[in-house]
Amino acid sequence: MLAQFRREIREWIRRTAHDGEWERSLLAANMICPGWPPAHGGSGLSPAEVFVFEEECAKACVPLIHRGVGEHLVGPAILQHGTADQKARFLPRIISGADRYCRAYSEPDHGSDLASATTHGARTGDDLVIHGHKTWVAGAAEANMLCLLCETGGEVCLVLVPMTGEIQIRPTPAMTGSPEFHEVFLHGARVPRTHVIGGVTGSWPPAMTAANPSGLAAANAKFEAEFWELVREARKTGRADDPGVRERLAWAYSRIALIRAHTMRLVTAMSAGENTVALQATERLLTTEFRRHFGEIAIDIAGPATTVQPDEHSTTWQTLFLSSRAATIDPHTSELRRTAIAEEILHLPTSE
Amino acid sequence: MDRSFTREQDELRDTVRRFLADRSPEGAVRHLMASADGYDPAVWKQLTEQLGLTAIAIPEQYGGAGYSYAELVIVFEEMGRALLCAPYFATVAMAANLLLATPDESAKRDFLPVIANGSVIATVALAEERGRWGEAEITLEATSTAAGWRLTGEKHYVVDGHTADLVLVVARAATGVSIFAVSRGDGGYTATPSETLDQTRKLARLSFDGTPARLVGEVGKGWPAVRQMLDLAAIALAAEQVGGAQKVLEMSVEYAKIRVQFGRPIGSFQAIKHKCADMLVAVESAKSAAYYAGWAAAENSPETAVAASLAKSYCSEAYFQAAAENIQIHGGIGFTWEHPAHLYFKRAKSSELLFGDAAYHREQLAKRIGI
Ligand SMILES: Cc1cc2nc3c(=O)[nH]c(=O)nc-3n(C[C@H](O)[C@H](O)[C@H](O)COP(=O)(O)OP(=O)(O)OC[C@H]3O[C@@H](n4cnc5c(N)ncnc54)[C@H](O)[C@@H]3O)c2cc1C
Repeated sequence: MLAQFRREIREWIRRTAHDGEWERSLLAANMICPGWPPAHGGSGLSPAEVFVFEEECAKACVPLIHRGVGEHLVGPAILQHGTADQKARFLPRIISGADRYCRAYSEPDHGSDLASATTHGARTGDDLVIHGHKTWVAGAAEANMLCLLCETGGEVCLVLVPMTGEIQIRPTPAMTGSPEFHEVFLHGARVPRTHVIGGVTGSWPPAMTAANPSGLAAANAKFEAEFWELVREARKTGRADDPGVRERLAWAYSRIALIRAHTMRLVTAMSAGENTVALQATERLLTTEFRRHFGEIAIDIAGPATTVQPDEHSTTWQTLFLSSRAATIDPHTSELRRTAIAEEILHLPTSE
Repeated sequence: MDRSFTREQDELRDTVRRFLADRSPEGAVRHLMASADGYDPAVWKQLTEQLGLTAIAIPEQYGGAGYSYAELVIVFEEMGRALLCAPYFATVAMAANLLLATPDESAKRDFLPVIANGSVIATVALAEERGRWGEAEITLEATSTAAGWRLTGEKHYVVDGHTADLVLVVARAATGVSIFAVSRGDGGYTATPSETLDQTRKLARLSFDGTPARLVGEVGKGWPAVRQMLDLAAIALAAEQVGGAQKVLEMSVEYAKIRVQFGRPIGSFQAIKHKCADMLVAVESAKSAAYYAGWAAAENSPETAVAASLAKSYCSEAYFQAAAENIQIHGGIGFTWEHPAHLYFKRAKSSELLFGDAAYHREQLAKRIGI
């Protein structure tokens, strides 16, 4: 069945990709956010079909159009917890690209401990008036909407907030040297209470909606492309014959193959409607820790050239080396992930 | 990739798990590991005749049931979980796979049906004193005489080599590596059981001194079949490792919930939680690797060799780490003979070293992807 889907989608990509209007074609075919239900602008693809679609896009070297936070966080939260009205209102604008979201969860004093977030939404009639300070918000400069975590009278909830005048942003330079994230200041931003996903009470779960598995196959394709680029680099510098380098390359490739096998198993199980919390948690830790490790392997193998005035090549490995440190911090640190596995999946007792 | 286990496969798992819970509980494992033969003929009879487990992946034309490697992976996983003491691995993962990989129709017709029905226990004698698995390591000599082939030399680490009725010997003839069959009934060689670290898997040293043998396949062209057998056996071993790793994870989590220190269960300490979480990640990803390899083998996919090396390298490390952490999480009781933790710990190490450790398989993988 999936093999047939693969043949069809490959053929469709082949026919569609070179008409120069790729994004428009995807939109017309409901193939942006393709896993969303057809009633809300998607194609209702199963996670396994989304995976195959991404693999085929990568093979055909056509870009995957992904709506970022809107696609992997806001959309799934609305689909799972939102009202009919919210679905009609917010989902089409994510798909069309009219709304570009950033995730405004972290605060100076609350990163892992999001349940204690202090950004406050005061209930005023039918509105929420929000004051607060968020940090490390990636993509804030490109976004026009915040997916905001805020507290309203003791309840932490998820609110979709247009980035209007009462919201200011300020870049925070990252260790990579580029402005990867921003501080966000909310001075009385006003939104209707219908922008709260899941209602003002008890809407903690939407913020934690398990990330949609979209992007898994695209990530795998990227890992593999980077790996072969590193092999070429190692050959160029003559390091490829060093047994120690070979061992590390072989380790990296075996992890990439492992992640691929695991993500295939995950999306297959998801498509069959099985409980996949353990598989998903495994995927997250496996992938994020691999990322960080690969960053270290890559700079070692690429060697001293990556440490001096960067030419085009050295920046690749330097950037990977630096940016991969974030993999085990954002959106959750590895420590938090391990604790969650222990308590939520293995049911070990909490510390209290 | 549109594969997950079918309902029939889930049922097979249930059947095998129930059978092993009944016939291979810890008490039986401890009894058999201390015995000379290391298996219970009554259990072997049930396992082969009633459950038909030796027939699973053998094609019907050779008296088998004609299922695939995906089913075998399930069986091996369950056997690894129960630490079954039986010559199943040697017979099915090694001997049957080697026969299936050779082009020798008459050997297949002679040997596969009796393996499938359980009347013959079989194994492969491959490694020599150095304990390595490459083609170049084969030195046991095969000479052609007027009266047929004769074998001279020693084989080591032969799995169940002292109880096997049929031994497929990988030997070196003048024209290269070749496969030969010898029968215990013919009495032409001696088999000496080794004292093994892992008592649940018996190994033997076999000495040949002009032993008459039957050539299997073409002389000098045996290695590709051996290579294929090694890949398939590595996948079977990876599945066993997954079963064992899952079991030690369960042991650790259960103990972490009931053992109380400082007035609280040790599982409430983050140091223990994180060890358990790492075990879960290792076990779940090891399953992904082993199942992927099993499906590749079932489909005879060109990815099988790479998948086998991936599965063997990853599952070896995952099982050993899990088995080692299991001892740590149990503290002093985990170091006792009475506690089963050491049985899994030893099985984990012996399986890691059999057919090449993780580093060896990553090197194989590097070669296979062309780096
Ligand atoms: C590149 C990048 C992009 C980011 N983008 C965004 C974004 O778009 N939106 C957004 O909201 N945030 C973003 N973040 C912030 C990120 O989500 C937080 O940094 C992360 O959740 C950790 O919070 P913290 O930094 O406050 O660290 P802390 O929570 O203070 O943690 C510090 C250390 O203590 C450990 N720790 C904390 N609590 C426990 C515990 N209970 N048990 C054991 N150890 C513990 C942590 O694991 C960590 O090692 C981004 C961060 C980075 C690096």
